[in-house]
Amino acid sequence: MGRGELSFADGGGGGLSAAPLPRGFFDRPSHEVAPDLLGRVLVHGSVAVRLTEVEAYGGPGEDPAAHTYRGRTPRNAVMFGPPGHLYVYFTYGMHFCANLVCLPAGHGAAVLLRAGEVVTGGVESVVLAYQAERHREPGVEGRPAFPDRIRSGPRTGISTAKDTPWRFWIDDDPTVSPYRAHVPRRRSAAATSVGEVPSS
Amino acid sequence: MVSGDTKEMTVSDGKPMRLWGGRFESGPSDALARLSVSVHFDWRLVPYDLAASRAHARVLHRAGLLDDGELERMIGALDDLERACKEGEFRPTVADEDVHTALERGLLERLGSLGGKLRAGRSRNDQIATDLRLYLRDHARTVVSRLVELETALMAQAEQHAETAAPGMTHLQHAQPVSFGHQLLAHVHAFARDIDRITDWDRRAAVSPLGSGALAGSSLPLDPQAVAQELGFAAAAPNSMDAVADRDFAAEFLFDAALIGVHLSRLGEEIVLWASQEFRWIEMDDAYSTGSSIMPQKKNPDVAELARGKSGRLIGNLMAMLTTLKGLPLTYNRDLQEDKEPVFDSVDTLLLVLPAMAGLVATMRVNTARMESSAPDGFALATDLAELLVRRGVPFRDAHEAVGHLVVWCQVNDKDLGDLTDDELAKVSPHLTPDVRDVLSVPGALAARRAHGGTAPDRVRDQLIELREAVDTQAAWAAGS
Repeated sequence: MGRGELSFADGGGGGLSAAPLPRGFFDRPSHEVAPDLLGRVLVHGSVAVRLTEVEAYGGPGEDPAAHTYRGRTPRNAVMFGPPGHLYVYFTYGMHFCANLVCLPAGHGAAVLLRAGEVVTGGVESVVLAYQAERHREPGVEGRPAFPDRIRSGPRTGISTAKDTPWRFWIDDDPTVSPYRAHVPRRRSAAATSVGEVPSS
Repeated sequence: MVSGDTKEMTVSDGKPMRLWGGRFESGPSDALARLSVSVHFDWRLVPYDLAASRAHARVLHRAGLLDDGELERMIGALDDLERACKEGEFRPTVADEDVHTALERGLLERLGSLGGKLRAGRSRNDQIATDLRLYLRDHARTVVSRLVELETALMAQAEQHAETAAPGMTHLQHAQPVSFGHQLLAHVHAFARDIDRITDWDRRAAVSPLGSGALAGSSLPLDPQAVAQELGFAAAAPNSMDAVADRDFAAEFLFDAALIGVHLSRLGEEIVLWASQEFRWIEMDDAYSTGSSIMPQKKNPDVAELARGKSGRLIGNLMAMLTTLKGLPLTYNRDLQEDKEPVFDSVDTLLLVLPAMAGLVATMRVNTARMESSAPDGFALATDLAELLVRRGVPFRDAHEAVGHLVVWCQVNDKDLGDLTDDELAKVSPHLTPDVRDVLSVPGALAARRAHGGTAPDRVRDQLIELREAVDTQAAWAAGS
């Protein structure tokens, strides 16, 4: 039945230059920033990653699945920083998780970067770049994916807010991970789900 | 989309509704009804037909033919009908001749006699021409989105392989070494022209037929320009007879689609060659290749082959359309029922093939070593040698002959140009001094072709910069700005 869209004059997308996005881009709720990041390239140090799968997380008191749900701690302080900053945490003894802070400082909302295609640099250098400069402001540039390519659904592997469709990905992209529902497990069990975000 | 299973389509109230039954005493024969029905394929025009209906309702209201309350109920019913169609709650029946009849039935079910007021001042002739233009202008943007994704995949590989030397070919014979990135960008330029043709086509397609009625316009005080504007057209058609008879926009789109098919087929053919055991230039990702049911070692380039194969139907659809149109007197003729299936099929085909080709290109791994080692094969540097002699003042005619002799000598003695000794070079021509060997290197040959449009890696990177800007503009057009 087609897209059913008749308006040819409006519609988003289609950034024209390769210049980095201004900080104001991130000064929006994380679930608005998240789909707009897909297809764009994150440049951090010597690495560039085309983002293909992201998840939005809200601030204290509003999103029980977010690190910041119970307020500011030394560990999550960066997430309360200015928009566009990188918040990296280490989880399950094996995964580095990178997030981009959204909304003005103090809101504690962010977009988790779940998957991407490494455009320049290697996977190891991506991790090293994250480790070395965890608090820097990375550049995001390039054109977003076409809106009809973007899919959304519940976030992967979380036990709370299961009905919030804040996971966004590029349809049919080979780098996107298969969806995993949360499976209750023993505390000591090793995690296998990359990028899984604990609720506490 | 309506199911092909006609058993699912039943007449709801026993008596089929027709938009033209007034002067007929008996209904049509079953054979005619079966020949005449188009709703199983034109059902996909529902959102466009309803959008046109909403615009028409508003001009009827402005002309005083619907009062405020009637307009509100009419728009509400059209919105509800759209929802019901989307959710599959409202479906066409065999008795609905076409999409317009089915939707009028839905409107009458919702509004009673008020539903019948919408037909004033319009005909299925201007309606269908409008619907098809709306459908195509919408889907042209989707097709361009998918083309941009393919261009982007080709450009990403080209950037990786700006300096990778490949044997450039003419007549499928080694000719001169080229940058593999240069060759990939050659395909991008073809697709960029395709998009340019579509955006240019869109200017001519942006004309609204609504208001032309059956063929002569309307005696009601309607406002075709207002309808045109609401539907995103640039203007209303200046001639009602042309408006209902013209299918140039469909034929032209089908040409654009056929040429895209030809370009996909040529790229597909190259990928089939590159992936063959004889070339081994690329390896396809498992996700974009298939195996054999009997030969376990096989990895087949089905995506590329289907891209090549499906170009046949894209070309066929253009021929079908042109042939349907060629003998038609003005204005509408029932032959025009045949205008839709080729259009739908070409759009569907492109939207199937393009994402698969983009994925295949994005994920293919280039066997750089293999490609570069065969780049100088077949005396591919002979032209470089001849051009060096020209730079030293030798007439090209003489240089061509000297190098030609050298190649023959190499063939007879089973040697490559790079293997020749000083004496052997001098024996063929006094111009062939030992230092000519400097140009007998592939990277040197690539770098030397540095004039505008040449294959030198620096020029390939310049091309990439210009193409990126052009493709960003194309992407913005497809996204609606």
